[in-house]
Amino acid sequence: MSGLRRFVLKRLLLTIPILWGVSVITFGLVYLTPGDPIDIMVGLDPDMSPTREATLRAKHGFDEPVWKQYWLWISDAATGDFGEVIQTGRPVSDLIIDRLPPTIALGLFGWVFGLVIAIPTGIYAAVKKDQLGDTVSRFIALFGISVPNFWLGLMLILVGALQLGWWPVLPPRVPLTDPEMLWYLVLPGLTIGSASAATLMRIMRSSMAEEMNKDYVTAARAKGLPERTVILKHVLRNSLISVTTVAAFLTANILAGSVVVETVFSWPGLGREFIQAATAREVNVIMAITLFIGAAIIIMNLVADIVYAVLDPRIRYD
Amino acid sequence: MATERGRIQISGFDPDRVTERESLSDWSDDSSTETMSRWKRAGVRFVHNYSAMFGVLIVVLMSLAAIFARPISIEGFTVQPFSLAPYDPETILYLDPSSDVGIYSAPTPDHPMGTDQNGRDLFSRVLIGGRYSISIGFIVVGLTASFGMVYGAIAGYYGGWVDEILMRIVDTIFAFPGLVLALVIVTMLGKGYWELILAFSLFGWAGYARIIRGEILQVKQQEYVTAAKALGAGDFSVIFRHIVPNAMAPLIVQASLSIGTVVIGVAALGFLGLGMPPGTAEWGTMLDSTRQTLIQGPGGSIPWWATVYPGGAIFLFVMSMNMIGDGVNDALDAQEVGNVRQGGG
Amino acid sequence: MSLIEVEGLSVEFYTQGGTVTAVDDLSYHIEPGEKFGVVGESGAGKSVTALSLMRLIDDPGRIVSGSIRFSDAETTRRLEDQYPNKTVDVQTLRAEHDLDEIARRLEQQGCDGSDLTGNDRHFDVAPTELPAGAFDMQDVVNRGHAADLGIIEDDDFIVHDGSEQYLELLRAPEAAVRSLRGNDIAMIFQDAQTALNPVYTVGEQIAEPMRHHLDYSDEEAKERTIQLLDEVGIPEAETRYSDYPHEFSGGMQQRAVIAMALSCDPDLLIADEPTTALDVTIEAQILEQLEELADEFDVAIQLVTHDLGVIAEVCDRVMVMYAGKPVEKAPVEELYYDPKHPYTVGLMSSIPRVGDDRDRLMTIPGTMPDLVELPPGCSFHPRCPYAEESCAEKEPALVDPETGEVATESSRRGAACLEYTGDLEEGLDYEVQVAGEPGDGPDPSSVQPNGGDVDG
Ligand code: SF4
Repeated sequence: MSGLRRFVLKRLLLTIPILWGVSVITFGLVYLTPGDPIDIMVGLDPDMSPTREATLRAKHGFDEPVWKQYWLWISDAATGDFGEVIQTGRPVSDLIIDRLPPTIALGLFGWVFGLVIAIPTGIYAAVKKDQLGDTVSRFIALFGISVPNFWLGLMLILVGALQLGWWPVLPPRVPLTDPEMLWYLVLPGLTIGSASAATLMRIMRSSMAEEMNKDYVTAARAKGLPERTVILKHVLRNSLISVTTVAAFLTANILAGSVVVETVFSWPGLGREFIQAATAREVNVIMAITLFIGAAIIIMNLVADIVYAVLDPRIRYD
Repeated sequence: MATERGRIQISGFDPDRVTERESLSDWSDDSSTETMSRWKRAGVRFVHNYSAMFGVLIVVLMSLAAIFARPISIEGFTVQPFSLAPYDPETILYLDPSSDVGIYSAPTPDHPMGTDQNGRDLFSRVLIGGRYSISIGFIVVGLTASFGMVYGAIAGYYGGWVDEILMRIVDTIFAFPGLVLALVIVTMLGKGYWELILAFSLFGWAGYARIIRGEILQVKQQEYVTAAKALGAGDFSVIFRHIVPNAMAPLIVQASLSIGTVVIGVAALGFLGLGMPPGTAEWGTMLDSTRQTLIQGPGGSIPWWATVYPGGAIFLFVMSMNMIGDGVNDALDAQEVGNVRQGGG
Repeated sequence: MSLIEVEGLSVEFYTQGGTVTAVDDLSYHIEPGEKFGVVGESGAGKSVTALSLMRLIDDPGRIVSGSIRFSDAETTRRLEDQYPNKTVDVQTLRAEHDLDEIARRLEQQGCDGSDLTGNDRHFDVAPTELPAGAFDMQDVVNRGHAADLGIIEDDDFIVHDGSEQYLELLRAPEAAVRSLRGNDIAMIFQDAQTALNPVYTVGEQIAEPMRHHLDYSDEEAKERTIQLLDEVGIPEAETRYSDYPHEFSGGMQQRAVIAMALSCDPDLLIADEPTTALDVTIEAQILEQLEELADEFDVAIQLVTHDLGVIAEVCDRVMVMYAGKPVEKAPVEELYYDPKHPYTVGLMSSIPRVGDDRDRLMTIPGTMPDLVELPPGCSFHPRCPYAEESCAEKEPALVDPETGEVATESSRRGAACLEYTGDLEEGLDYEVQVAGEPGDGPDPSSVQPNGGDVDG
């Protein structure tokens, strides 16, 4: 186990340069284009005096050369200070803490929905390969990976909220802890989870089908084990190994999805905040959210690798 | 027995007689399928895949509709004179006094998809709306796949620290969801066609690089590569004449599946109001304004057509593209061939 | 009665290229404790035959006809307890039904004489015109006619006939067959590395069938597994128990698979190319071990291989297969000193030997035909050096090479070549020489194929 611990530690250390790279790329993108957040503020408030404009610039360091600005930012970020929202002066970390729970709730719902749907259907489709059940579930999966999530969201509102009237069009302002929230999560959760469920199901099916052609399956059958044991004990564990490798990819999918889905459903999470920040060129917010997303993806990657190691005894981390 | 068998010797079993004599029957070992090249075999399999061919049909039809919906002129010179769309997608119809449509008019035989929030003919707009998304999809995939191929080939071929550095960069890019990056780029660069292409191309190559590198690491070990090197072929020629063609299959599969992803991405940015300038007849941008009509909730009539048709067009295109991608994947996956033919014996 | 009797087995695979008849009307039997070899090039249908015995043919394959009878008193008793209503007593049937009446009814159904007796001599003979005693009630039951006529149920698979008792595996319900797999009939696979599940420990995989079939507790199964590992020659069995397959060497993996197969003390062990994946020295060790264990456990072996050398090492009797059909059957010594079929001769001349003074090996030209479309007549004719025009026209039956009569299961030998039915003009002109003891040079005791004219 110490081998695994060393591996985890090594990987955690590796995240640092990657996150640094993420910050460089984002910073570069934001700063290398003309204009800064103050320009946007001026656009909104044409009466702003040139002196105030200059003070604001100086305060946030926008008058410094790019490398200096980056240095200022990164040295603060290293201490956990992500600056403030330029337009309102609110600390960015405050904003993130505020917006994070709804996004996590949504993402988790999507994740669980994806897993609950995808794993059993994937197994089912692989076992019934090329039969009717397989064809139907493959078609549904094709539907799931092809439908644009924003359109799916709009259609769900159209049908679920407007036609059937089962859900309110906009999420009511109830605290996340309220059990009623689970009901309001259904439409956005379905929207955000459908693509992941479909992708996962396809991967599950193909990896199950691939494993089922292997000799050890015939060997297990030749031992006289019931088909259930053959599938659920022998095949499943092997095919889950390859499924874990896409877990991180799915996390990225869900996080990217949150940007769109939260906008569709007016969901008060990080994704919607991100769009607003991007439009307003709120540098600090953009930087903080991208870093957060990057870190989330990297950590999910790491978790996937650990699960991989647990499932596959051939992997040794020493 | 074991020792004795060494002392048995057969004489008189002469294979030459078989090769020298004339065939006794007109039976011949029909192995034409075995000798067919991998690509040709894949082509045959692809053509026999009905759902993939259906996908091709839809993609071709939708692309043709986008091209021929309205004339195209480049620098004042008309290169495409046809105009299939019944109305100009930009014309606000109710301004014409003889017109009986307003904003959000429900579908009628004359306007099969109704009109939009500005009273423009939705059918014409949906027809032409693929111009942006589809062409961006193909251009982006072309650019990213080529660049990713070169990048991955270099990383995989040279290995060592070159590989280490190049792949760390790829890892970093993978820490962003593609859409988030594209979004940042587009908000910085502003809306527009080439901006969108840049937004999706700038980092979209990373996936291809990773695939090609993995393939190359496998192919590299193979004999013909060693042979080519031993014969003094230069690095460039070894990589691009000997290695890359053999590592292409997964790249092609990935590319064919990516077109749909880019199209959705473009439409998503359009929907977020970050893609094309407002009012542009682009599928995603067309959906941007409809969200408001839904949020306003029940009461009054809901112009469902404004949501259903443009989104349906994206969905149909992407699904067809994915059917093609699946077909390419199945066709290039050579594993099934010759497996069962021998009856497993 | 033999331990296992296979009769008229045909297995088809449905592929894009057409229907592949991987096994075509195959019959053989194995006595209790006997070591039976099945040999042929890849594609001959050997592995399919092996899997058919366990009814493990998977899509797109299907067993289309035939009978597989497994006779073991203890096993029959066990299944009788489980399936009390699936038993047929042939003696009762004899008393209740008249054979002539059955023949008449079968004739009305368009049944041919050979369908009833399984003997090619009765081809095109009406069932009612068969000579007296040509068939018995057991034939009616075994060939499925009893079920067709509604005399017995379709899934009546436990058969009693006086002191004889057997199971008809092809009529048995899946669960019944499953209770035989790994328990009464076990299998050793070609490539132990792929036959072992990489994510479970070797010990767990050996213990698994014992817990399942013998209701062993976890401790009992573990204890027995360690004992088995020790018996198949794995050192430090106790610590090795919890190793994963990848921590074993190739030879050890194969030993583990053998232990797995022997775990429930089976009556029949099917070994499908058990040593092909191993190098020569390990191969010899494993074969030796297998032989020893077979004697110790008193288990019959069906050894499937492409290597006649391996057969010689282990087997008592051998069947040579080509394109899904048996082309020669013989006791192993006789096959070696006196092969009757040109294909066997070809296989033998392609075994490399130490001290061979010929400059090259005589290999069989060409490859096994695509089983979708077989060559007409003798399917070996495109590759046979002795083929003549008639070979492409007439399909040779498996006959007793001494008499030219159609071989039955009781015949000592059988070969499917026109030579033995007198249809070949030139004959087979190969020679088998047994090199003299110390010196070299041709031995005076060189054996020539008999039953045909040999030209110099
Ligand atoms: S029948 Fe003819 S072709 Fe077939 S083995 Fe005999 S000699 Fe050869």
